[in-house]
Amino acid sequence: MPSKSKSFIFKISDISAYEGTPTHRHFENELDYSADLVSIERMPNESNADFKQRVLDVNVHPGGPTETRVINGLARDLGFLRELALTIDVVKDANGDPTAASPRVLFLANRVILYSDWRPDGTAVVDKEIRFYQPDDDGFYLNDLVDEINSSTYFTATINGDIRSNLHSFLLIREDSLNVIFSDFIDSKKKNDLVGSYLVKDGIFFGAESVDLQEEVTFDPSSSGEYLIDYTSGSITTYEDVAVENTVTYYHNIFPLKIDYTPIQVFSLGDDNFVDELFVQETLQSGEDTKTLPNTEGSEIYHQLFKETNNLWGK
Amino acid sequence: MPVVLTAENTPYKRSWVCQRILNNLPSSENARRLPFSIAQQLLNPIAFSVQNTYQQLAQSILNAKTSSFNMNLPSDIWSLDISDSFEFQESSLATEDTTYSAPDVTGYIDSTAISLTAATDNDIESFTGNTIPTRIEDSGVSKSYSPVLDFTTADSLSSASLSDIVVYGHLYITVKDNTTWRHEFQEYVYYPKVRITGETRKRTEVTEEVPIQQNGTFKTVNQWRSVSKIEHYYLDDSASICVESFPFNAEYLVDENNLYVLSQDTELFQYFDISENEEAFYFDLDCYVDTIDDLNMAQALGNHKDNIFSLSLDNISPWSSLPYLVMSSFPNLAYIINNSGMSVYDIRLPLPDNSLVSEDDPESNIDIYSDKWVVKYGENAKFTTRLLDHTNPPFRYRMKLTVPDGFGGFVYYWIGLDGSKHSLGSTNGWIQNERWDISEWEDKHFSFLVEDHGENVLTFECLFSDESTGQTYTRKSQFMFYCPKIAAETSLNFPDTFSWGYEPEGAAKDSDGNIWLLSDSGTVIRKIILRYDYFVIDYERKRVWVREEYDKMKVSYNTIMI
Repeated sequence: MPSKSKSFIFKISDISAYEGTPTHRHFENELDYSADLVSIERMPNESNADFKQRVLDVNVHPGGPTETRVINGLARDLGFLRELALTIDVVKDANGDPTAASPRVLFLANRVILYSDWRPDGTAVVDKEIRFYQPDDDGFYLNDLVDEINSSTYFTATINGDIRSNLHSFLLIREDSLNVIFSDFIDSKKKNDLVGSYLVKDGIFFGAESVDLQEEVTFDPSSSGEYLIDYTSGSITTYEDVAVENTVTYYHNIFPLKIDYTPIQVFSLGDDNFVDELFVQETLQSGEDTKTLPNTEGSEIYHQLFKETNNLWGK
Repeated sequence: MPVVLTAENTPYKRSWVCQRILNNLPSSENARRLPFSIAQQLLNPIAFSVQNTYQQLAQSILNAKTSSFNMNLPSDIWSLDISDSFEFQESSLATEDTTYSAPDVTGYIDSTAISLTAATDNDIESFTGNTIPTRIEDSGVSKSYSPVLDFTTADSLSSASLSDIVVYGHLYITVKDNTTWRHEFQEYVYYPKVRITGETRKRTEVTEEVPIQQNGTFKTVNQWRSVSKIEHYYLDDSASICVESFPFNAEYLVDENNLYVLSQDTELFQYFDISENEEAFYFDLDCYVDTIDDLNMAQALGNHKDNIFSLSLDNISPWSSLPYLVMSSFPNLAYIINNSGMSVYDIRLPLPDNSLVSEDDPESNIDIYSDKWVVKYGENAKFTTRLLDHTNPPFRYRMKLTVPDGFGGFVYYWIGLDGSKHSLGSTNGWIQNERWDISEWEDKHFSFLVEDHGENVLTFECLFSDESTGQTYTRKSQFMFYCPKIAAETSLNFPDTFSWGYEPEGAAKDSDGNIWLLSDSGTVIRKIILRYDYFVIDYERKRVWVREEYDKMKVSYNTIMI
């Protein structure tokens, strides 16, 4: 060892030498033990910093048996954390309110539906329906999808600058801008700010009859019983302080809507939207539409399934 | 016509906790399986609250476990199996057990040879745990940089534009020029704070409030991915705020590994900065503590600071401007970055050689003491003498200073009461007790300039007269004070890919422990990678372990020991 004292040293040319290529080995440290508690294993050559983010992702995007959670779990185990891909927002007028009457964005397995007016009473005016899953084709890339959304009058979309724009759109994780909040509180004051914003018209239900919440008006309340709802910011204003504390259950939308992406995608054969993509639609002589003949992709999937699973026909 | 919430028109989300609770009901209950049963609809909001609490708890446990993790611990190692025909040379040191002398190990990256260092004592812990880097590599990663919020006055904060976070991690809030720290309104008291809303690095939406109790740089608890809003409360309109990914504007860096523990068991944060010592032509690493005793405060050091100790940095000559300091928490290292490279210092206060000071004679009735035993070069060290028995005052006294000469020997001086130093040969150093005539003694207070690094020993010697015998005798008391100077563990040059004359304008560490250098008038950051070229040998299995990846390795004996 260099630190030991020696009588003297002289140097001669290589008397013995060995050359070779080193082999990589994983060296477990404390982080691996912490990760073991949440059943995460380190990827080959994965740095502590990346691994730590994957460990922390366990509680942020939990795994589980539902479609999204299966995606979460698989993506994390394979080292592909969910990344923000798209942000969809509503086009606003000069007052900052959406130009659409009651907007909603719904991402399904094969298409995105942009509603300009969606209400819980059954009203559903579709502004655009973009079918991005194209059988036997590359389908829509993200930039194609964004262009298509941006051609809408009521919605805008932007791609996150950190990811490639030529990703397949069917890798986006399904989202719905619509959400329901049960029993938000209305306190005894004039203006109540609700938790949610972008409230859905005709989708607001008070928990109890109240003398202060009798008639909805579109201007500042000028007499007792009148109330004004700011649908964009999510607030309820009454003429006087609300006499008795109340609750409200309401539909609202989340805008801007953030859509994640991961290279791992899971489709359910119980999902009609996905099954639409696997069968050729035919119209029978009777005029009835039918989907009995699988297309190329459908055949492949079904053959694979029959091969992998032990199907027993008959009783 | 009232709308009825049904399964068709409601995106009804059920918490898994809801089903767990319902499973306690008898199996015959319909509520166990019908999602729109009254029982389920009543339970579901509560179940969601329980689920959220559970999730937050699980998340904070995981956060606590991972935030204390040392990011510098190696996670990958490489091994090379040497052929059986290769013979290790036995060490010439004669012992009963066979010991080998370590061969020369060379790694090649793109045919560039890198000489590896043997781990101390061929020990696995010193191999994996050695944190002194041996090489700086250019990561090739550089990014254009701007603070998330450049210096803005508090009154214009709401209209200030925010930039993207370039490197995800903690944020540093620097507040300057605020004067009012307490606002009273009726019976309430309000303190200034800065509130940041955004998305954390692991992608949860949070709002963090950072209390600001003094001007300084504060670090957020969360690590961030994006910031959507920065607000402040109760800061002066003229106070300026800056929020950035790196503490480039911080005057002091917190020592994240150590707390300063006072004798009253109070713990204080330690902070470091680097300054030029004009007396010594050294750079000093100064350690401070915050005299505001509140650990709930975010980490900052403002006007309320006390110097605890200063370390003179050897091996680094004063440069035209101050070098940049980067602190490492695991272990306690300081990376000092100047225009040509980086020096690494172990900043733990070195232990002085206590054997240089002798124990006082048990019969000694004199004492010399000081409030401080660690002093800074160029500082005035202050001392006081003490006589424990005033019935017999000395009639002479003298102070002798022993300082290391830098070559293993010592230099001695007599110290005058005015702080002057005299060489031993010029005088015998005795000073007459001016009150000897009236048989009294007054304790002496004196100070002198510390001009020597290392262990300084001050000897206080008194000459007494024994009235009964008429003989004289001396008594001594010693006090050692320490002026620490630390040598760099290593000094590394920037890689060749850095253009000639590259001068960083700042340096800082990100939340993953990587060091970034600021350049181009503060608009570009570039990452450097520290490499650890160490090896350890399993002589039995003929295997060499290394911590870095090389294309090829060579094990050889170029030197022969006799």
